[in-house]
Order: sequence, then C-alpha cells, then structure tokens
Amino acid sequence: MLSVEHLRITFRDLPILRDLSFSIDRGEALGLVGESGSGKSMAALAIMGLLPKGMKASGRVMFEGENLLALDDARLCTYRGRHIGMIFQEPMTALNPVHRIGQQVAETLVLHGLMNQSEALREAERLLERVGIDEPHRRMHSYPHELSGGQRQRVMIAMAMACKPGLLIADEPTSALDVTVQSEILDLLQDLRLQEGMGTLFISHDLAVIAKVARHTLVLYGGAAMETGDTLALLREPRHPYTQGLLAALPHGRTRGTRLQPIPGFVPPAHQLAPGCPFYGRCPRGDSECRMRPPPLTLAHTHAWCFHPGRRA
Amino acid sequence: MIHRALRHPSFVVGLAITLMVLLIAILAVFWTPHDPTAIRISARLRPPSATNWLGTDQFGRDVFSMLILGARNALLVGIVAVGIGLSIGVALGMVAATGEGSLLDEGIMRVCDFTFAFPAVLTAILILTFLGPGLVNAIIAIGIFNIPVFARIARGAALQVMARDYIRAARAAGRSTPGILARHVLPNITGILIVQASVQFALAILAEAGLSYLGIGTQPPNPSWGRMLNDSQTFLAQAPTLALFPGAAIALAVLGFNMLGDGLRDVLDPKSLER
Repeated sequence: MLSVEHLRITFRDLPILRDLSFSIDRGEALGLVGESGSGKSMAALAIMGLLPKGMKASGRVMFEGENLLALDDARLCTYRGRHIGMIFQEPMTALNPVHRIGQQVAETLVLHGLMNQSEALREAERLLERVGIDEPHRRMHSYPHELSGGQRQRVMIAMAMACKPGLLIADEPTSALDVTVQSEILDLLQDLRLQEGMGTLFISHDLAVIAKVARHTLVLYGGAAMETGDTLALLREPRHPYTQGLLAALPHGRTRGTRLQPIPGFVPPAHQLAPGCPFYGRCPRGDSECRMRPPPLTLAHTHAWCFHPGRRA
Repeated sequence: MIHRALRHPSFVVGLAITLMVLLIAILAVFWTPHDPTAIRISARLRPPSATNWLGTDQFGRDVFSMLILGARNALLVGIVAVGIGLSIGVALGMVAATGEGSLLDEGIMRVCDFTFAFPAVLTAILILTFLGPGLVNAIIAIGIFNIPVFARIARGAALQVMARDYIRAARAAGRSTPGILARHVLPNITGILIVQASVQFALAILAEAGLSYLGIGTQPPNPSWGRMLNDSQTFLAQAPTLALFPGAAIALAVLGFNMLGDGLRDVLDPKSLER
C-alpha cells in the first residue's frame, strides 16, 4: 500500500535523509526507531508532503499507486487526513484551544465531504467512544484544556481515524505521556490497527514501545538506515553495531547488577557526518572503509547496512 | 473569565464609560432635548440652566444636544474607521504571514512601514486634501491609517499561531492554507485584535476631533466635538464652559476606550497580569 523508494531529503545540499526505502501493507505496522535528529520525523513529514520550508525530498513515495512526491499541494490535501492520518507527539498543543473537542473531530469528516455537519457530529461522538473517552456525549462540548494529556491523545487518534485512512503515521504518540497512559494508548492503537486494517508507521526513539506495536522495525541513525527486519529478531540478535549499542544502553530484566553501556560520543551535526556510514566515529568496528563508502546491505535474519555486521564482539 | 473581568478596575470603569457614551450616542439618533441646529440669536452664550442643561453657544444652539449628537458622530467614525482598518489590515497581515519572507510579504510590510513613517493625523490631512473635507472622507482617511496597524499586528500574531502544533495537525488533516487561516489562525488572534481595536477606536475618535477642529472633518451644521472646541475658542473669556464640555467629552471617550483596551488585554491574556 505504501512503498517508500530511495527517499532522500536535503536541506541546502545537506543530507537530512540519505536513502530510505521501506514498505507497509494494509494492517501491518512498521516501527521507525532512531535518536533525535536521525531523520525519522522528517521521513514522516515527507510522506505527508509537509516538510518545512527549504527541505527538498527526492525519490518516490508510492501510496496506492500514486507518487505523493509528484503531487501538488491541492491534490495532497485530498490525501492528508482522508487516506493518511497522522498523530503527533504533543497532545497538549496539537488541539486548537478555541474549538470544542466534538467539533474538531467532526471537522475532518466534513472537510473531506464524507458527511454533513450533523452526521459528522454524531460520528464524532461514536469515535470518541471508540477511542475510550468516558462520557463522550458530555466530552463533545469540552475544550482541550479541560482534558488530560492521555485524553487529548485519544482525541487526536479519533481525529486521525475519523475518515478511516488506509495509513496511520504515529510520530512519537506516547513519548509525552506517563507510563501507564502510554501502554493504554499503545493498546488502543494496536486494537484499532487490527480492527480497521490500517497500515501503521510507528515512529519512536523507544525500542520498548516499538517492540510492543510493530512486527517489523527499521533503525535509523544520522539520516541513514542501519538495520531492518523482524522486530523480535532485531531485539534478540542485532547485527549492526549501532543497534547493539542501542540495546546495551537499555535497561531490561536481565541487566540487574550490571552497568548499562552508553554509546560513546554524541550524534554529530549533519554537516560533520562521514560520507560513508554515519555511525563511523562512534562505532567500535569502524575502519577507513566505513568512513569513505556507504556500507552495503548485508542479508541475514535481519538486514544490516554495515561492512562488519555480526554478533557483538 | 467574566469573574476576572469584573474584578479588574480599569476594565470595569472603561466598560462603564464606553457603555455610557454608546447609550448616549444611540439616544441621540432618536432624541435630543432641542434641535441641535436650531439657531436662536436671542439666547446666545447662555450659561447652563434648566432648559439648556449645558448652556447655549454663540448662535444660541443647545450645547447638550450638539454634544450627544457629536457622540454619535464620534462613535460612527470609530466603528467604521476601525472596521476598515480591521478588515483590510487583518486580511493583508494574514496573507503576509502565510508567505513569510516572500516578495508579497516584504511588499505589504514595507508599505506599512512607509505609512508608519508619517504621523497619523498628517496622513489623514494629506488624504483629505485629495478627497475633500467631510465626515465620510474623514472616516475613510482615518480608516486608511488604521490598516497598517492591524496588518502588522495580525501578521505577527498569525506567525506565532502558525508555528503551533495544532496548525501542523490541521495540515496533516488535509486543510488548505485559506481554510487554516479562517478556521484556526483567525479565532486564535481575535483577542489581540480586539484589544488593539479598542485602542484604535480611542485614537480614531481623537483623530476625528482633531480633523474637525482643523475644519476638514465633520462639516457644519452636523455637530462635532472637535469643531465645537474650535468655535468655543473665540468666546473663551465670555463662556468658558463652551470649551469645557466638548473637551471633557473627548477626554472621557478616549479615556474610556483606552481603559477598556487595557482591561481587555489583562482579561484576555492573564499572563500580562503576572508580569
């Protein structure tokens, strides 16, 4: 359904995203993992055609047979919200403070000409109930500031889901929520995906969150793909040194009594990245080859873009 | 919010004065104690009395009747001139904001800067020399110099709102730029616009009084506070109250709208109270 082919994003000739390809089928979820600045959110915005001014995308974003990168803004508006829904990280600020909740949910339906105002309001109430808002009838008339962060994120989900889009892009949907609410929202998203058969692109910096929702995972670093594959395989036996470093830095059940291993150094700014592998410089296995040339794709139980893939040394 | 408003002294006083001026102006449309244009030479320059509450002027016209009809004219100028500035200015400002940094944006804002470089009343006088004197032309002139004020404020406020997450969310939901402006940006900048409108309203009243004082605003026999002030100068020694009343009326109306604007700013934006 969605197939991203050789997506590159540049900002004044500076590569933000180097060469990203992935595809998502109906009802499937792909997790996009990376640190801040890895380019994961930019990839999502490029799919929506909402890149900030000055950024240019090339390659192809095929959605149901149409290359979204080639469409003009007016055509894109008929896709956004209608066929591709998006939810954002900050539920506290992603709702307009001056409009009532019900109206905001109903709005998308009216906008895309699916319903008239009164039908849309009825549907909005149903949607609010569907995403687990208590007393949806009363909440329809609430303003965003009267809702908690978790409730607002539910409203955001209801808005994104309103037109039953084929693809849902969730950009860090739970990062701003506390842990108990986080797992409720993840369950809800999972539930909706299975019932509505939406494809989901799930973006997060948190491998634990990705492990919960996505069958497949793609790890990004410095604007380049590092490793991709089945989420469980990737967590159990990562082949790329970056993924291995990421996992060693995560606390989990078996790490009791041992120290967590941070990845040495910091993410360098985009203009200081090596032309080869962006992880060169922080990578324990990096050599001159890694610095000069982009690493090849090596296939195994997970696919890694690395000259020296394999078990942790 | 209403509670906060009612405990805000400047808002309450400003609102009271504004409402009073408004009610008097409405009253003047239907009723004045005397015909404000009726000339009675026999009763000229009378001090305040039971028949002529605020006395009579050099032609024997009833000052109170002229004053409340003047209030009507002053409010008319305020409403229409601010309306012109608001509608055109806000539209220009929002268009400029959507094309931030574009040639159109630069063009609009530089024209605004250009008009700001001249004092407002001078601009109005300049416009009136082209259009000719009169109430309607004064309104147009004052309206024109209100446009850049609102264009600038609307642009700044719109830019701030457009950086918010809900605008991004609205784009992601498929709204076009005009739709976003109307549905999401405008409702979020009305507070700022209302505050500025009440300040501009006071300035418009002052400007009309100034233009009429110079004789290029409201034309006789239509009464105006500014011209009453001018007429009274000659008789300052004989009838000082003649200057006092229109002067007080101008001061009171301007004060009222300014206090209302001040109060509204605090009420609509509670953060400004904490500062």
